[in-house]
Amino acid sequence: MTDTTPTPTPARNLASLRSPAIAAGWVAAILGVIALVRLVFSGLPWAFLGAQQAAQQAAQEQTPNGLYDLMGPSGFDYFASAGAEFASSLFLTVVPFAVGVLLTLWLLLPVPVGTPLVPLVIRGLVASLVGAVLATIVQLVAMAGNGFVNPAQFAVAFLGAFVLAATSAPVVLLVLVVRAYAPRAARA
Amino acid sequence: MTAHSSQQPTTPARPVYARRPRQALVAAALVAGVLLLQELIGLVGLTGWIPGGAEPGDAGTSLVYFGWQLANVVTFSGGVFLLLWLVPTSWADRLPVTLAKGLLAAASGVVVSWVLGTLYATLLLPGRGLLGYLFSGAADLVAQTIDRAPLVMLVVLVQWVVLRERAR
Repeated sequence: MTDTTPTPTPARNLASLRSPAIAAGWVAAILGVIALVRLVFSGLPWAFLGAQQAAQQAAQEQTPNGLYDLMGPSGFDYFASAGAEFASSLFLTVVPFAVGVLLTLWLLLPVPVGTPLVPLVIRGLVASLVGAVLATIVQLVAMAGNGFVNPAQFAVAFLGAFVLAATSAPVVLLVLVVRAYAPRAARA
Repeated sequence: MTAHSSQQPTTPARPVYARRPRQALVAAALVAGVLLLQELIGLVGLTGWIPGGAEPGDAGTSLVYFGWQLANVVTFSGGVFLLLWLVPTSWADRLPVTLAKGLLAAASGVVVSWVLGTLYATLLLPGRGLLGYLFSGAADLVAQTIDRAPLVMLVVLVQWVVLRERAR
């Protein structure tokens, strides 16, 4: 795609960690924003509407200690639940995925300056797959800690890694292409 | 031979921002293709997670779900095409402008999908009526736009890179 000859593959040392770390940081930030927006704009408005309905229902239902709960779940309950959901998606999906991307772009497939478009896309796809597999392993470890994993679930969990890789790959590719073709990178 | 007569007659150059339906169509088709692939992979992942394996009825349910997703993808891509046709990508754009066009195209796709989905539901599915369907989908507009923006921005960006290489 470009007529520039790529520079030699960077050495895998701490000095070459900066560029993959910036790319992985951007990936984590974008995926985090997407998770937050998804939660706020598609979850919370309906959760609050549901809270009003649930409060009315709760007024009809007796609590285990024999009293009537007239309040039902409060807005705070829904904020707490949404916060827990966001933290879970951040630590079990976004961060391990970004770490996988970082490790791939640092150790496995570094991106030299001037890399043409097609090899850049291939590197992004591999980085997404590695990130998704790492995120799935972290999720399985977390589930195993709670005693929820059986061998069948363990085997089928890796299908989820492909789903995550497919849905997150555009973000990784976008970051890589922008960094490769941003004016500052073009001058380098 | 004068200097003037030695010049080759040139056809007037196409304006940088001329509408190029084919270019917009390629971008929309790429977006649709990737979204369909994502839906297919998601469908396999979803049915794989069913505890105890898939039941006979699951295939039918999955097909109905996939049909709706297909309609969503086609209408979304239609919106992307519309915006990229009206506001074409050009090699002369700066990077932030190109990314902004991608974001706008994603928003346009979501709005077109929402409007067509609402009209379809109002005309063919009895129940909530036009306002009910409009509001039930409105809460998801921002989330859907942000969700799909990276893919559309990526496609627009790749097109920009290719156009710049050709223009050199």
